[in-house]
Amino acid sequence: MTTFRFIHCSDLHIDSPFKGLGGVRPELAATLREATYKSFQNIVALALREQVSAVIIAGDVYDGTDKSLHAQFRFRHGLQELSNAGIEVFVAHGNHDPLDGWSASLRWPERVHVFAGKEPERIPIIQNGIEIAQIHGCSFPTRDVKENLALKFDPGQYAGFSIAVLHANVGGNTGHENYAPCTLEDLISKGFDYWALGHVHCNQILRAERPAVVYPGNTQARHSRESGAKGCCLVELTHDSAPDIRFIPIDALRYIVSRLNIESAFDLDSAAEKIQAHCEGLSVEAEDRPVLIRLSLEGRTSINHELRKPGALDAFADELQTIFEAREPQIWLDLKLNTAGTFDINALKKGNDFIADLLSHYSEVEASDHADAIREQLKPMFESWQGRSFLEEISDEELAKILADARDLTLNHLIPPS
Amino acid sequence: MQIRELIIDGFGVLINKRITGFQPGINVIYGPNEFGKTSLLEFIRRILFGFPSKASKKNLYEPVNGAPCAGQLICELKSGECVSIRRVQGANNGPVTITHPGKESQNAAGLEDLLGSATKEMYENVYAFSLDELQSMQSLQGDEIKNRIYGAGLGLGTVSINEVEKNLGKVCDEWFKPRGANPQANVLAKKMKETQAHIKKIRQEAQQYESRFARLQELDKESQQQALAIDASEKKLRQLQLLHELYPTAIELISTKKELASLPDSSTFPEGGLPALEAIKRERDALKIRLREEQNTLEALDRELNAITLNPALLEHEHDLIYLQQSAEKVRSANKDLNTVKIEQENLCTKIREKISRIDPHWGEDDALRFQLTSLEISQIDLFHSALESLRQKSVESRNKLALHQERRDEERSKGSATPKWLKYFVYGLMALGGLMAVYGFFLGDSIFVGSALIIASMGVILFFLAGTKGEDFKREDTLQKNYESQCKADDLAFSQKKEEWQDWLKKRKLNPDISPLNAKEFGDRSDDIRNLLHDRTRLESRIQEMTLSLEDARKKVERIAVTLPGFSFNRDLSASIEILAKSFEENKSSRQKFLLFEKQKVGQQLKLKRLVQDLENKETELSRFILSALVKDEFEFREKQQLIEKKSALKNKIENQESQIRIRVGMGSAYDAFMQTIFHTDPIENQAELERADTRLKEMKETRDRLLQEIGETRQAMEQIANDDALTEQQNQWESDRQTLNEIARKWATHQIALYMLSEAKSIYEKTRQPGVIKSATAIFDQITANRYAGIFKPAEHDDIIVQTSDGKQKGFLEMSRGAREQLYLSMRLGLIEEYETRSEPLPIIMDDVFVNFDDKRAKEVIAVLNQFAQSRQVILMTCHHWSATALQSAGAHMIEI
Repeated sequence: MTTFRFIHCSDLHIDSPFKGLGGVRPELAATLREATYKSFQNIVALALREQVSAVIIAGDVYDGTDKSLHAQFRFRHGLQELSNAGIEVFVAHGNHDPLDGWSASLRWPERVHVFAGKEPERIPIIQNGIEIAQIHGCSFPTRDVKENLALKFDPGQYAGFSIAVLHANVGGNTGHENYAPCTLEDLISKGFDYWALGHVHCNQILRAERPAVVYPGNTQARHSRESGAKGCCLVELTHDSAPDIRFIPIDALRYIVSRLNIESAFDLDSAAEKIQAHCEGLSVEAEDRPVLIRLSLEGRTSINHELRKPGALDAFADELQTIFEAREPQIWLDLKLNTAGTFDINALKKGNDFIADLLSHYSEVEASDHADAIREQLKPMFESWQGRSFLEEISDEELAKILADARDLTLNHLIPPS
Repeated sequence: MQIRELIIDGFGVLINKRITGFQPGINVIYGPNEFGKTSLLEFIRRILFGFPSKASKKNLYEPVNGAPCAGQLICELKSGECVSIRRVQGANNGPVTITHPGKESQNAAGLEDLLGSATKEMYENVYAFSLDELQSMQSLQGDEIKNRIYGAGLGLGTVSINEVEKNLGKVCDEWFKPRGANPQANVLAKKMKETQAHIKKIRQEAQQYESRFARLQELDKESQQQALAIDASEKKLRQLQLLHELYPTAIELISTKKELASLPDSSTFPEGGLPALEAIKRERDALKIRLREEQNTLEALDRELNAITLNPALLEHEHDLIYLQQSAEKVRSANKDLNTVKIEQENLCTKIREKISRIDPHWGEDDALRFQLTSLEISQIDLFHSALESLRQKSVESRNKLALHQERRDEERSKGSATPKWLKYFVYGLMALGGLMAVYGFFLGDSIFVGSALIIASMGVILFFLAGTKGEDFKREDTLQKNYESQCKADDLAFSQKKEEWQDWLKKRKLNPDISPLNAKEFGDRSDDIRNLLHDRTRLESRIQEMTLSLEDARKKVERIAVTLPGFSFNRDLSASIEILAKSFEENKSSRQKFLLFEKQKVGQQLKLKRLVQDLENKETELSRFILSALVKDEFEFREKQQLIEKKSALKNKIENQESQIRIRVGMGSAYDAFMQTIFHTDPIENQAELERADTRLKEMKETRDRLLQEIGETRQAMEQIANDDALTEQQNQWESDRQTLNEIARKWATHQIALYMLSEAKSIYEKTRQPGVIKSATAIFDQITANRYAGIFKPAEHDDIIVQTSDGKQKGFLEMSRGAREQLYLSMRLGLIEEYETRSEPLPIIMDDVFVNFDDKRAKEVIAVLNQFAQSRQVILMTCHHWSATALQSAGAHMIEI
């Protein structure tokens, strides 16, 4: 029985920076810097180990149109390894690395096929003199592709395996920009065996067979919204049966976002113990790879006041990181403080004093349309300061949190710890 | 805390002053102007909160005696404990000493504890104030005092909103200032801008990769072209160098060829030339020398032959002489041994005769020769010997046995009875049995049994007697003796028969029949010895005969030869004669051999000479022909021609060498021909100049190539560096990290900023909706002083001024009030403030300096009433220079302090 095995991956974003991590330690910075490329290396190693016939990359190899030369060379190095092993590689560029972006004049290895941008190309795969599959693909000619590229694909009358490679937003996924929008029905109607998609950063099998429509997700998490396992799909197509699609985690660093209630911690040491145990438990999920844990500390705790002191949280995080220092694989910790003091806000609100007036005013602001007055206070930094371009706009949701933090902060000052 | 005593070491006009008598409630110090009331007020303030520095430009109240300000307060605490506070002017407000009973400390913190954290500002403006300070609203405008006024009743305990605001503001300022440079956000933003610029630069540099790549391709192409041009130039240069280097050789080659062509023909010349000629001449001369040597040898041989002398007659007896030489020793021996042998022969004869007579005196030599025992006979003798010995031994043994038997028989006969023992025992048994049965039968009374028993006993008795009387019947016949006797007889007979047989055997051989076999065997051995002796005698006789014949023969031969040797005469010593003859014969024989040898050598020498003469002639002929073969007349011409040939050969070698040199450099065949053709058209000077020009051009081209290669290397290195440079990623990551940090800071700043804003807002609301406790207290006091002329005191939210509302609802500002009313308002505010303050702190002494001067009588009275009430749980010290004030206070119950 004829089968066709290949690896489907997308959104490598090689050499793209990690976002949402400030004041990173140098050792972690090096790991983060290498992570996207290392995940690609893991794909190469997987392809060699599994002896697949092809590797399909469905867009966003690089993070930016002005991709780094270093990234291009490293990418080519990996492709060279695949080509040397007789593995065909198909690359479709996406919105992050469209064809009109700058690229160095590099000569691609022999078995590497980069799809053109105007119309879908069709490239046959020949093994032992027999054509076993055809790969159809199309790159983004420019970043803003708003037309439905899927409609241009046509497998024709072909008895072998037909695979379509496209970077697109299927079904108007709101979590991603709406490039090359199409519907699942558009894809199903074309008659391909497998739609190798890219663009959406989480692994999704939109349809399991006839045709299989798959987003492998990106290969390496790069910010807190991409937590969990990242990898590629190892696919085996067989005539007259459903494709065997296996998700293989290949991320070099696992990003985990978690919350921990430390209400029961009576001092910093007991909080540290709880955090350590929690993180050790989380690291098991990472399957022997380094893990970066963004941990939100929550709950009303007596150590809130202590942790809220300027520089206290950083010192506490450093102390915790020291505990994990000698551990292998490494655990990196990104602590977020969302604790509150042990005071009872509802009881305080009922008082007849200034604090009751203060809390009432906070409640009033939260409930009513006082956001403009609040935002007015932030103008010196967010609107008139010359460094404002580096700042992310504060959303209403975030503003609400800031307001709550401000309330807790004020209470921490007004109500000293007993 | 209340004051009980003032001890002034020195303060302004007050020197060594001690003021006592301070009590709880109102204390009045009355005195005229310049009495020192203000100094006292300031003294108390400064002892509690420190002396100002000289730089403060305040009145230092330096003591008139020139000593530093110093003094102490004796106070009583709420707990009843007395404490002394002593301060001396000095650095840092002057050192303070707190003395509790039995304990002294110099700790400023201890004083702060006593003062209930009241600040200097608070105390100076609220607790201890003069008229001037009362008149000024500014004295109540300090931040702390304002917060005390407005924070009272907030329910914040000891927390100061102002402090909270200050802390929040400080944190905000640390993070961000719109025009700041050092706050963290400002620093980060600046850094990010720089990083951004760096990233832009790196990206631009990365894009230089393209231009560098294009440049590299150009350089590669240019370099290849340059390499080709250098190859061509190097080739041309090598040609020119070749021409330059080989030009002299080529020119010399052409010249040599010309010289060779100009020499005459010398083709006819024998092979080997002069060396061959010289060789023939050397061979001829050698022959001549040898010929002379061989002639000399021949002459020497002739001389040797003539010197040899010979005796031919003697040599004719060569055969006999050789015989004599060979038998000389034999003759000498025969001469010497003949008599000895003859004596020995005679001795032997005597010995033979003796030996024969020992065997048998009648035997002759023939008998002895005939008697000889064969091996059969010897074995027969041995058999006879052993048989006779055996038989004799046997006979002796038989006799011995017989004698022994007879001796035993005689011994038995001497012992007596011959009755067997068993019979005796049987008889005794029968008798005993019969006796026992008789006794038994007797006891039984059985007569039959007794009768039987008696019969048995009787049979025993009968048998006993029979055995004794008939003993001889038991003896046997002695057959053993008979046997022994017959055996002895048989043995004796056998021995006699064997002996006769032996004697017959001896008789047959004519030997004495009485000799034993052993003697017969010995005779055999003796006859063998005799035969051997006879053989020895025969041998000696033969030898004697032989010796005699030899001597005779030698003598005859000597006599025959002696005549041929002159001077020799034969004498009786045959051996000496033979020796002389033999010596002479040896000499002649040697001379004859020498002569024959020389003769043979002479013939050989003569033949050799003949051959040498022939060889010499042949060599002379060969020499002549060799010279003629060169087509020359004589040897001189031959030599001249030889020189010509040698010169031509040298020229040819030279040509070959030069051609080889050129061919090695330029090649064979057409290349060589072309080069030689070029030589004819070459101007060496012009070639040299061209060579220099080409060399210069090549150097320039190589320099260009090196420059290109260097640029290629640098470009490649730069490209590689750009390709491997992960600075962009690093910078991007750094930028992202900084951006995150900045955003985190921005949000923290926002949190603090909003907290500040909200705090301010809440305060404003609070002021609007809930007037502070201070204002409330002050309103009550003010109402009492003004007899309800005013409805209340109000503090607007927008500013910190106080507005007074009249009973008819009108509001008045400060400036609209009279001076007295304003002072009464301020006094009310202070008293209200003190009330609020003391809800959480140690009460402090309140000191007022002439504050009633602007009050009318009615209100002064009300103020005194208020103060009296206020001082119920406090200590108020009032200083006045007005008698009416002092009197009014005293009448209200105040304590007067005398100074």
